[in-house]
Amino acid sequence: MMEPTPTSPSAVNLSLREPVHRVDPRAKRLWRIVPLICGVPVAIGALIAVAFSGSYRWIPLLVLAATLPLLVLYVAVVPAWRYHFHRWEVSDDAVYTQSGWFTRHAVIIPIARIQVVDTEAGPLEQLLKLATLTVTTASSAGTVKIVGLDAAVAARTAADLTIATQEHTGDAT
Amino acid sequence: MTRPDGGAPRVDGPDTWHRLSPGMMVVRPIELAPQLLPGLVGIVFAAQAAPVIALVVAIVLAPLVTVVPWLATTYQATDEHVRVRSGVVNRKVATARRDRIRSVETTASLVHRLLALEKVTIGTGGDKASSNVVLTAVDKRYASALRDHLMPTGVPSDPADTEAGALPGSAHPPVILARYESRWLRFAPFSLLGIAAAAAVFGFGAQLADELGLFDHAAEFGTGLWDQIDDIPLAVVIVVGIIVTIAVGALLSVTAYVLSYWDFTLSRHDDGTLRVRRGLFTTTSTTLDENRVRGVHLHEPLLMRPLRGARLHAIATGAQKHPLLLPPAPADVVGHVGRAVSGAGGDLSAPLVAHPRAARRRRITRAVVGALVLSTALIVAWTPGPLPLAVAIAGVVALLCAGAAVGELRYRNLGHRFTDRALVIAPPTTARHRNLLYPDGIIGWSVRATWFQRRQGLVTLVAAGAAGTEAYGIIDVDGADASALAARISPGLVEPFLRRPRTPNPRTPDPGTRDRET
Repeated sequence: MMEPTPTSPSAVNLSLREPVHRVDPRAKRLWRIVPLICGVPVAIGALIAVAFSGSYRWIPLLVLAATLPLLVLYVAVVPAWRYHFHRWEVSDDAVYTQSGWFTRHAVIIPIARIQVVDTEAGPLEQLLKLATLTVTTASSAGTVKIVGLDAAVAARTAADLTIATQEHTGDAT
Repeated sequence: MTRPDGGAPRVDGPDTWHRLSPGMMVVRPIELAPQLLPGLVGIVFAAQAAPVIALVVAIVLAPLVTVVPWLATTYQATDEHVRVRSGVVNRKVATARRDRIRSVETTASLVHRLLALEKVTIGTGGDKASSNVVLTAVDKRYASALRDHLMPTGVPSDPADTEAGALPGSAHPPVILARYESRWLRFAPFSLLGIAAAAAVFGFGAQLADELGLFDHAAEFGTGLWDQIDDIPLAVVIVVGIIVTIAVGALLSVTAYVLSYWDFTLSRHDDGTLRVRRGLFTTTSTTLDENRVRGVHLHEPLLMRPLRGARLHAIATGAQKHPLLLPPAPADVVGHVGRAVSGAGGDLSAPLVAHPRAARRRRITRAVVGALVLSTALIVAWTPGPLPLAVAIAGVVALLCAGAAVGELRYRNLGHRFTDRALVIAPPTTARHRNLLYPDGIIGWSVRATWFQRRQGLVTLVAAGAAGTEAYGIIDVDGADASALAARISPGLVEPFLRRPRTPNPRTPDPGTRDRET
């Protein structure tokens, strides 16, 4: 039923290049703060529990043993790893993004098919003057979220994209 | 205010509202019967204790499920939209904008049919069931007039279509693409649905018997029977049990098949629509705009493979993501309908491009790890004393072999193929699935790779579209092949982002952005 994979000459060494822009370096701080906020209280709680839990000490010790490596990984390693790969680009015709760290994810969507463009910033993002740009199409798989953009860059890009989108008519499905 | 039913669909003004057919007062309570049953049982029980109060309650409540909803529900079909207002306390307005309507489905239960009524479900492109607009009961003739009025959706793509649309029913009669034949019935027993239904019926029956205290009455008889069963070897009991379940399951499957697919007809109409009509007691008629169909989905269940049977669905937006095109039917019919609908149906059964060896390794690894986990769990959970070593080893080996076989099967089903007309995607599943997508239905592309996939140079290439499940993944394909494939299908979109030196030839327009806007 199957035939071997044909390797046409044009298929050799044909791969996607990386998008041009990196996200703002402050994004690394954002990615560090979230695990700190979640992980540090758990670790402290476990430490206190170790001191008071007598013969059941092994339970909080187990929690601590699970939390600390994860905390170190998510604070020291993951943000840099993520920043290294997070990139984005808006050309005349398309939006191209890369994200993720363990599972990497690249998305290309044509501007003609964009339905909604919006920016949002949670409290931490506002503190760091960052914003998330969300570009939505009719397909759930063709929706793009660029996290960790400088707030001004995000607003400008969203405005440009909205204008570019309006040049295309049709219901974009 | 009740609509003078039948005849040509009148286009309503913005302030014209109509009531549904009075038949709704009969149809709706029957439709809601499962929800109303507890209340009804309550009233019956109360009637034994306090007949007068129960009667009063019943007289007060009865209109609440019959007359009041009918009085409160109004609808209109204007040039712009179809809108239904309903509810007394919570007023609800459901709107289907004309340019968002993707499918129209009419169903008629036995009660509907006795009253010459139909239920109309208008599907828009929305993701939720609530984005459908439902007219619970309207006159049959009005329902079909409304469907014909709504159905060639959107803007006709060329003048010829406009003419055909302007003179409905004037040109050629509909073309029948497929019609139910009794030979299709042979596929019915090979569906697991029937066995599941049999198990459910047994379960429900047992529960009901338990509730009614039948078990207590039958206990004595049962004990006698059990003593008899006790004398029969265990293996025989198990085999007989399995045979009975399969036989009952097959019988239920055949019954369900006949109920659902009796008189199945798939036809193509002049106005650019596909219509599916089916059902023995409850009849269903689904109308799809061919311009909104973005591909077809072939499903060949494992048990049906030896009989060469498969079912076919369209990949579309509307009330259903994968509306049925063919119930389990012979391969030649499936091929014929696939070709007729997609114009590239030969591709559905054509050989696929196999994925790299690493993809097979991943399938087998997963299956083997799964088998190891399962066998460890089984050995640990084995309660009657320590397991003899030989039995344990034999069990683990058997599970590993089964796992490896499943992994190999899944790899063999995995593949993809691109011809100029269509992209065929086959996911790694034990049943054989093939998704045939038209390039112009693909909005964008995404490439996904876990750390494990990257180590082996594999990626999952996802074609994003607005129809069907909206994401169709080509799993575990070689990284370079994936970008080459995306670039071949959507050159204008993907080529600017490729690493290789740009070729000077003029850019081909991207199928994602050119031609028919939909």
